[in-house]
Parts: sequence; structure tokens; C-alpha cells
Amino acid sequence: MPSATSILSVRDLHVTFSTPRGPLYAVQGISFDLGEGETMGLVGESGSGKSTLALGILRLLPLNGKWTAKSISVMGQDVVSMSERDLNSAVRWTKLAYVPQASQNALDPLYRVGDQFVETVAAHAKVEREDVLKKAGTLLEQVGVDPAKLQSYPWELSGGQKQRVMIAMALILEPKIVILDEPTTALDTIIQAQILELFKQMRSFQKLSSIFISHDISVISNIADRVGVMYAGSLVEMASVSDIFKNPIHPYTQGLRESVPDVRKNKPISFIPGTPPDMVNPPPGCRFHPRCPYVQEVCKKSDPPLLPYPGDHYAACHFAERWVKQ
Amino acid sequence: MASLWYLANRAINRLATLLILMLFSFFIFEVIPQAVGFNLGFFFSGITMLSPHAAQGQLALVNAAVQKFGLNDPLPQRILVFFYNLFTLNFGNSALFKEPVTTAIAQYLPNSLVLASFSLVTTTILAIVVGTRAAKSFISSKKKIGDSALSAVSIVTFNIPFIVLALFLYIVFADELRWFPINLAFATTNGGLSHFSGVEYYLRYLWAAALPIIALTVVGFGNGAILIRNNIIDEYNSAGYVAYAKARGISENQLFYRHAFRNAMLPFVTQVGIAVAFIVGGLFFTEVLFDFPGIGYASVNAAVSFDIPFLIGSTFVFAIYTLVVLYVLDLVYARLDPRIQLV
Ligand SMILES: Nc1ncnc2c1ncn2[C@@H]1O[C@H](COP(=O)(O)OP(=O)(O)OP(=O)(O)O)[C@@H](O)[C@H]1O
Ligand SMILES: [Mg+2]
Repeated sequence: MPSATSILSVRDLHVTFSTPRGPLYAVQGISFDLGEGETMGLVGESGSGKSTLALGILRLLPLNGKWTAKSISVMGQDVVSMSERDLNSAVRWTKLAYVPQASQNALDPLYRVGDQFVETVAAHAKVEREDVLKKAGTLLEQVGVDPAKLQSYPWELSGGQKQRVMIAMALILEPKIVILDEPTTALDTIIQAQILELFKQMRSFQKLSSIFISHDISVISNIADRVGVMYAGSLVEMASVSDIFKNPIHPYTQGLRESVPDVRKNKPISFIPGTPPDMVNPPPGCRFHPRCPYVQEVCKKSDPPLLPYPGDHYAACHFAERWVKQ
Repeated sequence: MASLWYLANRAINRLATLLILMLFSFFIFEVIPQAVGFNLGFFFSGITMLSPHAAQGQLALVNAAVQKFGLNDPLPQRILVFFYNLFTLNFGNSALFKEPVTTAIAQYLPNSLVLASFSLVTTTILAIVVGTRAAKSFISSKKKIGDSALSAVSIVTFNIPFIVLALFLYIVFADELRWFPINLAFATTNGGLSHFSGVEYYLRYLWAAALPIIALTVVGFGNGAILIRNNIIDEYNSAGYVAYAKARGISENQLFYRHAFRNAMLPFVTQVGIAVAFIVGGLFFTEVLFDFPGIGYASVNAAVSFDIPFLIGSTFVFAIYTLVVLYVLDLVYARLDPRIQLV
């Protein structure tokens, strides 16, 4: 999916974790482009590899994780062969920031929140401490946290406050791209709505491009321009937010849509039967075939590639044609 | 900074430990000997109990001691008297040293303080330096040779029996090579030939103290070094805040020192407390072996001659020393960990 305005492009990213049971194939050859100013939603069941994909792009995998990729380019700069040092000075946080899923223990308990803002900025630029604190205070105010909390230690904040501090932290250096991993899960719906509203403002204001990971399809449909659906380490479908839920191609996406409660229609929720595959011994062929209601012989043998369909709609299904709305 | 409540809480805690410890020694040094038939008056008057026909005057002294220290009073009352005497530093007379226990202790104490405090400092510094270097090598170098070497040294030295190491050091470096004096008295008087004073005296004093300090340090640092190494590596590789700091483009050095190292220090401070107990326990042995006249050395002699008042006094002094160090460690911990305010 080459795109003229692609700000982040990933080609054939694989991530494997070594585990006592053998290699775990958490991300299996993912490619995509993120357009400038675009928000890409990423959905998928727990364990489908969403966070691992994010960590792979950021090159932040834990020690037992190994990654390979044909290319990962951030604003035109290939980071695959970049040294840690160059990555730190040229990419991390200045261009590509991140809100981790485990935001509850992401701040060091030994330092005040304000000092961690200062530390972040100081790693990239010579800026007066007072100026950093002032800017951090403004950002905190925008995410609805009292700027006085800059004087607090992380363990003096509530879970939701911490999560909002992480969002402010991601924006402190005005990056072009932000990867947000479940940024609103610890928040109640009112705060969640506020944060989403704020995020929308910021992204138009700062021309922010982002990958927004969430379990919550209603959040995704509210915020995303385009949605990628992950299943068992692969992108199985990718399309504009309206297309993906109105005209899903992949049977997994169809199931996902049915599993969202809809208070207005008052129809019973249906779940996708079965469980996600064991990623140490993934099933052969299409990973989804053991749960697919339309499974055929070919599905058990060959793994369908992600192919383009009309309307910038991508799907990985042998029988995609069947579901494509003409 | 830690709250007053924390400071008071820890002080009370340490004081309680002191009381329990001394109550324990009360039973060991007074109740048990009495139960097996000794007249404690002899020990407390400083009159050797072995004298078969005690003269009248001596008997009067023995009885006076029995009165003064309430040795025949009911137990609860004796415990009160015991503690009253402890905290007024009234330990009675030492039979061995023929002087009040307080005077004897005052004479031997400085030597023990030097050994204990210096080895505590060197053990701690060496543990931090070696543990940190090893962790750094593990994290930053491909072959990790530095880590393998330092970890091996830490584990091996920690597992050498103290007596073997101390004897080895003494025989090789004091007896044979003569790099160090054979004992403190020899060093400070040049074998009775000279009288040193001022800076020269202190240098010669340290020269004599060096070998026992080295012995205590060599067997003592390994445990802490390995603990620090493992903690730092663990923090560096799995703490969420290190990964997040890395995402923010913070340099490896900063990740290592600001985040991993500082967090790894917290459990180490607790471990230093254990090292203190180890060093104080090791003093008895060290002082005898290196012929270094401190309280440990004197206590061993006192034990051999049933000098119970001295043993009570020295136990009290060692206990106070240990608990004061532990209290200082509580303060250090509070400085390092801001969460302490909540305790
Ligand atoms: N450090 C690790 N070691 C071994 N396996 C791991 C490790 N981290 C993740 N995994 C495995 O990789 C797979 C993908 O995990 P990942 O965290 O990316 O899922 P996710 O889609 O983010 O799930 P969730 O929605 O629950 O956050 C899972 O099977 C998980 O068990
Ligand atoms: Mg996740």
C-alpha cells in the first residue's frame, strides 16, 4: 500500500518471542502505511499481537523478542539498521512518541512527574527547566490534570491521572506520530470522551498521525480514519472506518462487528465461537480457519495474502470476492 | 524527605529491638548461670570466683554487689534494675580487667569501631562498584567478560570460609612478606622501640588495621555485589519505567544510572543491614586472629574467665552500634525512596 504521503511505513515486520515452549510467532509479516495526519485504529482480540506490533515499530521489544523487517521508515528515514544512539537522537519522541498499554508503571516511582517531563525534554534539546514545566503544565491542563501534579510522584496519582499524564508526555516534544496503546482503558466514559475530543483537536492542530490501539470498537469508530484488524499476528483486514464496519470482508471482522453490543438496535450479541490460536503452534493455512464458519479445504492449506480490493480496502481471505460489495 | 512520623517509628522500632536483645542477654548472662548455681555477686564485684577462701573483705564486696545489682531480688524487679543499670552505663566491675566495665569498654571500643566502620564502608563501596560494573558489562557488552569475571570473584570470595581467608592473609602478608605488622601494638610502638604521635601514629594504626579490614571486606562484599548486579539487570530489562524511558529516547547511560541503578539500590540498603550484623559477628574472630585489641578480642578473654559484667556491657555496646547503623540505613532508605513518606 504505497502512499505518497506515507509518514510511517512498515514492510514485512516479524516478531518472535522465545518461550520455554518454543518460538512464539507474535507478529507474522505485517506491512502497512500510515498517511500524514491519519489516525489508524488497530483492533483485535487480546493476544493478537497489537502491542507487540507497536513495540516492534518502536524497537522496544523485551530481551526474548527478536524482530526482522524489510523496512520500517519513519518520515522517510529507515530505522531498521539505525543504531540505538541515532534512534534516540533522530526518531524517538521527537518524531515518534508512544503511550504504553501498561501506563500504570511506566513512570519511575523515584522521580516527580515534572522531573520526568524535564528528563524527556533534556534528552533531546537544551531547554530551561522552567520552560519545560510550563509547557508540561499546559499540556496537563489540556488533558484535565491539575498542573500542580507536576510536583507529585507517580504513585500519588490515580490510574486515570497517570494515563492522562502519559498522553501529555507523548505530546511534549510535538512529535509527528504517536502510537497509543489502549490509552483510554483505565478511564471512565466521561473522561474517555473528553480525552478522545482533546485528541481529535490536537491531531488537527499539530497535524498528528497516529496508531490508536483499542479493544473498544466504539472508540475506534469514533476516532479512526482507517482501521486495521489483527488476528493471530497478522493484519487480516484494513479499510476506512466506514467501510470496515459496514462492508467487512474478512469473516473474522464480520464476527467482530456482531460481537459489539448495540444499545440502539437491542439485538442479541453474538460471539465468535472458539478461541484464538496458540501462537507457538499456529494452525496451518489461514490462521482463522478453525473458527471460520465458511471454511473450505483451501483455507486449511494455504495462507491467504492481504490483497487490495476496490475502495482502498485490503483483506486476507481466499473467498474475499464473495463479500466484496460491488 | 521522610516524615517525622517515619523517623520516630523507626527509632521506636530499633529501641524495641535493643530491649528485646538485652532481655535475652539478661537471661543468658544472669538467669542461666544463677540457675546452675553460680553466685553472681562474685562476677559483679570483680572478684574471681575461683578463689577458694575468700577473705572477709572480699565477701563484703561480693555481698555489696549482690545488694547493688539486686541479684537476689525477684525477677521482675531484677529486670528493671538490669535495664536501669544498662541505661545509666552502670555495668559493674570487670574481674578480668580489674576496673569498672565502662572503663575497660572505653579503652577497647575505639579499636572495634575503627574495624567495624571501615569495613562496613569498604564492603559497601566495593559491593556497589563491583555489582554495578558487572551489571554494566552484562547489559552493554557483547561478550560480557567483565560480568563473568566480577561475578565469579564475588561468588568465590563470598564462599571462602572467613577463618581460611583471615589465616591466609595473616600468614602471607603479615608473617611472611611483612607488608603488614603482626599486630597493633607492634605497629604503634615499633616493637617497643619507639613512641609515635600525631599523624604518624594514626598512619601506623591504620597500617595495622588494614589487614583485618581487608579480610572482613573480601568475604563481605560478594553477597551485596551479586545482589546489586542482579537487581540492576532485572530493573533494566523488565521494569516498565525503563522501557518507557527508552521509548522517550533517553540514553543508555541514563537508563542505567538514573532508573535501573537507583531503583536497584533500595533492596541493597536492606542488605547492608545484614552485612552490619555479619561484620559485628566477625569482629570477635578478626580481633583475636589479628591480635587487634577491640571489644571482640576483650570479650573472648572475658568469656573464658566468666567475666559476666563485661560480657553484658560489650553485648550492649555492640547492640547499640548495630542498631544505630541500622537506624542510619533507615534514614538512607528514606532519602532514596520518596514513598517512605507514606509509611
Ligand atoms: N515478552 C513476551 N514473551 C513471550 N510472549 C510474549 C511476550 N509478550 C507478548 N507475548 C505473546 O505475544 C502475543 C501477542 O501479545 P500482545 O501483547 O502483542 O497482544 P495484544 O494484542 O496487545 O493483547 P491485549 O489486547 O491483551 O493487549 C501473545 O500471545 C503474548 O502471549
Ligand atoms: Mg496489548
